[in-house]
Amino acid sequence: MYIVIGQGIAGSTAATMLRKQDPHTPVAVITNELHYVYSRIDLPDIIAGKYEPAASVLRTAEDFAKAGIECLMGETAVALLRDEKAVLLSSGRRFQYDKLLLATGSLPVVPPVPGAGAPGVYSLWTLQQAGEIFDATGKARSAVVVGAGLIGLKTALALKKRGLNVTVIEKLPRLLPRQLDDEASDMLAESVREEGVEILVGMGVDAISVDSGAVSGVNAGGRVFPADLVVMAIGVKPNIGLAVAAGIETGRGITVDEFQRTSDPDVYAAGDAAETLDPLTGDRTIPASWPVAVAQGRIAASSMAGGRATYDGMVAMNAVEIGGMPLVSIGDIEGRTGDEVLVERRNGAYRKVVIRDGKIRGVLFLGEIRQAGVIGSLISRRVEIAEVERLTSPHFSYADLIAV
Amino acid sequence: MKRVWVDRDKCLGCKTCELQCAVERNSTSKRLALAVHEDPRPAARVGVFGPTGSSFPLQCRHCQDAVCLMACPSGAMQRDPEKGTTFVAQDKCRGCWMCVMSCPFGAVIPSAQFKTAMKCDACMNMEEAACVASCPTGALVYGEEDAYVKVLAAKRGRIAAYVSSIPGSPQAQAMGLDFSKEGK
Ligand SMILES: Cc1cc2nc3c(=O)[nH]c(=O)nc-3n(C[C@H](O)[C@H](O)[C@H](O)COP(=O)(O)OP(=O)(O)OC[C@H]3O[C@@H](n4cnc5c(N)ncnc54)[C@H](O)[C@@H]3O)c2cc1C
Ligand code: SF4
Ligand code: SF4
Repeated sequence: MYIVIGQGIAGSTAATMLRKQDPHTPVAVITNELHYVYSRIDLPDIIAGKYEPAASVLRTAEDFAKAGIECLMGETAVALLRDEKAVLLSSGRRFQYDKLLLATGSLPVVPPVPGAGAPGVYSLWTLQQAGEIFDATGKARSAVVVGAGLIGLKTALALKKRGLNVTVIEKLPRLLPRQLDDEASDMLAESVREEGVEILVGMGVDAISVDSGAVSGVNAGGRVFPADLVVMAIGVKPNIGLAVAAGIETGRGITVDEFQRTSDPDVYAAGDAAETLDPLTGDRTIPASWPVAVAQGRIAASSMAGGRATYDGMVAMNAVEIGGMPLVSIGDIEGRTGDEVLVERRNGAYRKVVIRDGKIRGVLFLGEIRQAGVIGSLISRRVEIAEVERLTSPHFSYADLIAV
Repeated sequence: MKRVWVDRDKCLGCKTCELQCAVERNSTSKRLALAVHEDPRPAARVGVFGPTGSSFPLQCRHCQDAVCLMACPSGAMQRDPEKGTTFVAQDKCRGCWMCVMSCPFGAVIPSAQFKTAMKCDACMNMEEAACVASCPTGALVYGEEDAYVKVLAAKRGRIAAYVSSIPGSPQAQAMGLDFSKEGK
């Protein structure tokens, strides 16, 4: 019996692959979510009222059943009993496994400030939370979003679309601190402000003010920002509680090898919960992205079914459109001293490529993102670049790579 | 799997394929004379790149292990189970640009007007691909991989570029390009 914990994209990809690779062994997916498999990327649009929740469906329990996979929804795995090779569920049921996959994903981080637990303070990771925020926007007039990462900014714009006054407060000096540099951040901030969202960077939140049992404002930088709705979006952390309690080796995430196997040879981990090696730096990282969750889910399934495929790492990357500005950020977009940095600014677009020792290390395209994947794929291939001038040109393409 | 193949030697860089793709697949009028006045300007899903003399028409390679399929978080990027062709289901596309970020061939075009991804679907619902039908020199061919490799072998001594079928996957180191496999 294969057991998969979590029906996010890592878990559901793995379950599907297991069914294909080993049609004779039963597969069960256990999840504490109450809905179908959905795309988290849709959540801000659901808050904005652009889509109904049902538009985010990727797979339902019936789809799983049709594929011959048992999916138990609304069940939390509360303990992993490795000696007995069993998982214990909140309902008291027990499942024996031969191989188990921990695809438990991420949890939003709630900063330890006074009042953070007050009614009216939300995080955004699940469809349920998106629904709660949507409902709250019916009565709310002003909102503060804490954190200017991808989820924070998209949520802020969604709340604005619902007619709220929205302020984003970010502790670091720029937006999308991990994906942008200062110049790109300034450009993006301008587009977001044009949409009517207030942005304050370099400002830490000290406390949440509570009045008559509900949130009334956010205290930051010596001021109080009135708010009847607060979204905490300072980041996510890997959901590793089960693994830790079971004595499985963990760092920030669940430590896995290139086969997605944990320190227990019968237990695997994939997706946002897993910590793997960064191919370029050699450091252990948690890429925490959709494509990585899919790739790791596939490798985990292959390994669980006895295959030898390996996960060779993926460079940190993200793409998004915020406030009408498309952006792609791949690898080390800051660079360090001694790096060659190519920058092109043209028609409101910003294109930057970082080169170290003749090899591309980072790509940051804002406003004009075509061909980003061509240059991005050169990072993981570690190709030596002979002619660098054309890289940031809008005319650069795959044809340049094969021009002989 | 049948695909559009490129004989790089024959490409003159005339961009007829681009025009025809834009007109047939992206304009509302379907006629060049009218299409040039449309707003938004019809966009082509094939692009002729490279300097004159070594230009190259480039469109989606419909990779076997396509990274765009892995990257798409909305289920919009799909593969036709029979034809093997990859395509974007426009109604599902969220314009998140994960596919633009991932495709090693630069085959996905982010449509600024529609906020959705556009790419070549090998005109899977048409008799013949618009680009292939329009190419005046026969630089674009539609057919099975085996057949194409044979054609290349027959032209021993000439350089024809052909993009191998298993690029894409991060395991496979992104992309492979064989120069015509001829002489091997
Ligand atoms: C608003 C938003 C926008 C995003 N945008 C992007 C983007 O543009 N690009 C990108 O790459 N990524 C984006 N992401 C991140 C992306 O969604 C995640 O990286 C991806 O969903 C991770 O998938 P996963 O399967 O590893 O984990 P998750 O999706 O977190 O799934 C884990 C599942 O396990 C369940 N679970 C956990 N513990 C237990 C337990 N003990 N018992 C039972 N069930 C359990 C959880 O309920 C959950 O369903 C975004 C996320 C959000 C919220
Ligand atoms: S990765 Fe690029 S070339 Fe390959 S199928 Fe996807 S869009 Fe086409
Ligand atoms: S832009 Fe559209 S097709 Fe491309 S990955 Fe996003 S949702 Fe999928």
